[in-house]
This record gives sequence, C-alpha cells and structure tokens, in this order.
Amino acid sequence: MSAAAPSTPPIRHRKNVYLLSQSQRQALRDAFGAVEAISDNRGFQFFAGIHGVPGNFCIHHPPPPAISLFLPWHRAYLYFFELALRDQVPDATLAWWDWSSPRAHTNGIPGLYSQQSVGGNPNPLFQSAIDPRFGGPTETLRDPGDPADLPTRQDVQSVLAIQRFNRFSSRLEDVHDSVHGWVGGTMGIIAWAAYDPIFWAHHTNIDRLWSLWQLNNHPTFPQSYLDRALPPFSMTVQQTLDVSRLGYDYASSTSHATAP
Amino acid sequence: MADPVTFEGLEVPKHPEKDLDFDHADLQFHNVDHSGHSYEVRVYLNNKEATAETGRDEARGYAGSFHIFGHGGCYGEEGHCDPGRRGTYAFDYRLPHPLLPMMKSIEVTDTLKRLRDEGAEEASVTLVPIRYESSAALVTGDVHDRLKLDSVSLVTYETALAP
Repeated sequence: MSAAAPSTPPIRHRKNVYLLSQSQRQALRDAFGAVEAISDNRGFQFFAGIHGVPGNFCIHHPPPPAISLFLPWHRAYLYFFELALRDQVPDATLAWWDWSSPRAHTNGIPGLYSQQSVGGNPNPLFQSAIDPRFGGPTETLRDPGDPADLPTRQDVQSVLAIQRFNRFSSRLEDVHDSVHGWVGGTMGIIAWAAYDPIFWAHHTNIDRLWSLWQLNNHPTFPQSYLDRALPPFSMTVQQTLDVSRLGYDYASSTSHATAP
Repeated sequence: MADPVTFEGLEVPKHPEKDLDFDHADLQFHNVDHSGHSYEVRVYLNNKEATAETGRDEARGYAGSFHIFGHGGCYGEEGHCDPGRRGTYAFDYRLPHPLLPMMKSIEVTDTLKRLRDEGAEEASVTLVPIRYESSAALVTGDVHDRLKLDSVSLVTYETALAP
C-alpha cells in the first residue's frame, strides 16, 4: 500500500457508522480484513489481546479515590489501533456507533457489522477468530438484546451534564458496561470483548462522548495523574487530553474533493 | 443465577424546611467484585421481595440499574487474578491490579424524595443481579455466580449553589 496522498487533510475525522459513504465503508472493511490477516504485532489478534487475554492491560473501574484511567487508556488504545489500520489502508479511520440513536433503537447492531458476508466474501466486521491457545472461545459471537433496551439519548444527556470528571467517567463507563452486556456473547466478557470488531465502534463512541464533554468541561488534574503512563502504550494521560494533538476529530460525515 | 442481596438500615434524610432539601442523591456500592460473570444489577428501594421477575417501575421501588462488565474468570496461572499476591512498594508505578474491587453508583434523587415524602425513615436496598447468559455460556472453568460487594452508602447533596 502507498502512503497517504499529499492532499489528505491533516486532521482525520472519525465518522458516524450510519453515515459512511460506500468508499468509507469499504476502506473500513478492507482495513479490518487486512489486520485480521496479520499474525504479528501489527495485526488484529495482537491489538485485541492487549485489552483482555493474554495482555490484561485494560483499565476499568478503579478503586476510589484514584482518578479514573478508563477514558485516557482507551483513547490511547484506539489511537494506536487506528494507526495499525491506516498502515494497511491509509484512508481508513475508526467509526462511531451511536447506540442511543433512533436507528440503533430500531435495528440494533448496524448492518455494516451484522452482515455475515459482503459481495460473497466474509465480512471482517462481523466476526473474528480468537487464538485457540488461550483456552477460551475460538471466535467471536453476539447475542444482542432488545434494541429498545440500549441506552437512550436521555441517558447520554444526563451523563454529559455531570461536571466532575470522576463522576462523569464512572457513569459513562457504566453506560459503556451496559452496551457490552447488551451485545452479549464475547462482547460481554472483558477477556474477549476486544476481539469483536463492534468493540471498536462502541469504544469510538465512548471516546466521542468524552470529547463532547471536554468541550464544556476543563478539569484540573494533579500532575501525578497527567504524568501517568498508559501501558503498554508510549503515551501519558496528558498526551490523550486533546484529540487534535492526536490528529483526529469527530464528525457525522465527510466528503472530500481534490483539485482537477 | 445469582441471588438478590439486601442491605438494610439506610437512613432516609429528613429536611423539614424545603430550603434545606437535598437536590441530588446517590447510592454508592463499595468493593464490587468483577472477576466473574457480567450482570445488570437492578436496584430496588424498600422492596426486599424483588426478584428478576419484578417490574422496573416506581411502584415496585425500582431506582435504576448498574452494570458489571466481568472478567469472565481467570485465564492465568495460580495467583494471576489475586490482587493480594502483588506486593506493595514505594516507587511502584504499575497500574492498579485489574481485579481490585470497584465502586459503582446510581442517582436516586427522585426515588429517595418519594420515599421521604411518603414518611419512610429507613430504606432497604435490594440488588437483583441479572446475568448476561450468552456471555456466561462462554465462560469456562470455575467461576462463582454471586453478587459480591461490601457495603452500600446513601449520599445526598445540596448542589444548587454550585456554579
């Protein structure tokens, strides 16, 4: 694959899963398909394994009084995985699944992720393998609940209205937990959740909600928190706080034209 | 399926003057275990008979739910999933052990005010765990199926003066 074209905008936009253009959908499928085919540390198994088995690096609800690392850690996780996707397909970006949207409350899992095949080929966003040496399931599966039981817009609004960071993070994480349980199957278990391609659309939405909250809330953190490393990533909490410095932003949709 | 757990003796605050009233109330759940299965945990106030079949409405004391995203058991060798097996040191910059128990909370402002206005002086909290069965079916090995936590706190706030 060639490097990104010079005309590519410097800030990439993570877009709404439901509003991706045909070429953007194809780029996402191609990128996931490519990393799922790589068995070394550029591949999907490597990145999925960071979260649960075998890496066990993911950060979830911390015991009080610690300031939560849930949001910074997962932002770093998405950032490095997105780079791995772009190494294979330069135009690919992560996309966000708004499970509080009317469309989600009607249809549940987006078609982009629920179609088993596309054009006669397996859809890499539907399912992935899990290394059988880990002793768990050998492929991802889902058993989604009633779409009406997904978190609502009101649930999201009430979380975004919280001003204190730790309370906001904790409540957002609980909403996040509920979606993991709603998708069911491997998504409902920390050990295996990140092997499901829908994990990345779910967490991109969580990261989007944090970035929306950041527009109106500017907490002051202790330096010791800002200096925390986020293993295994070469990034500190401070480096995750401004998405523009990570080279991305959130949009509903984008289109792009180059000079003739 | 894990059994419901009830905590009793939480004091319902009385505020005789309306201008001293709380405007926010949280229930906090301390040292919640998340090593095993994943659950929705439905929270009922003053309904010790609540079960998985109980409706989620105000008349039955339903106050909200929190969720446990469980690790699904231990995929490591002896001691891997025991936070107590990790030493405590000065200059230890490792992240916290992933299986340290967590705190969860839900807001119960409206439910608590309703109880208070009905004359309740104490509240019981009954937690009804609803296991995510399709995820539980994938868990191998010996994983407990029990809702484990140490305590529950009821905390009210007066935040109206906050900017």
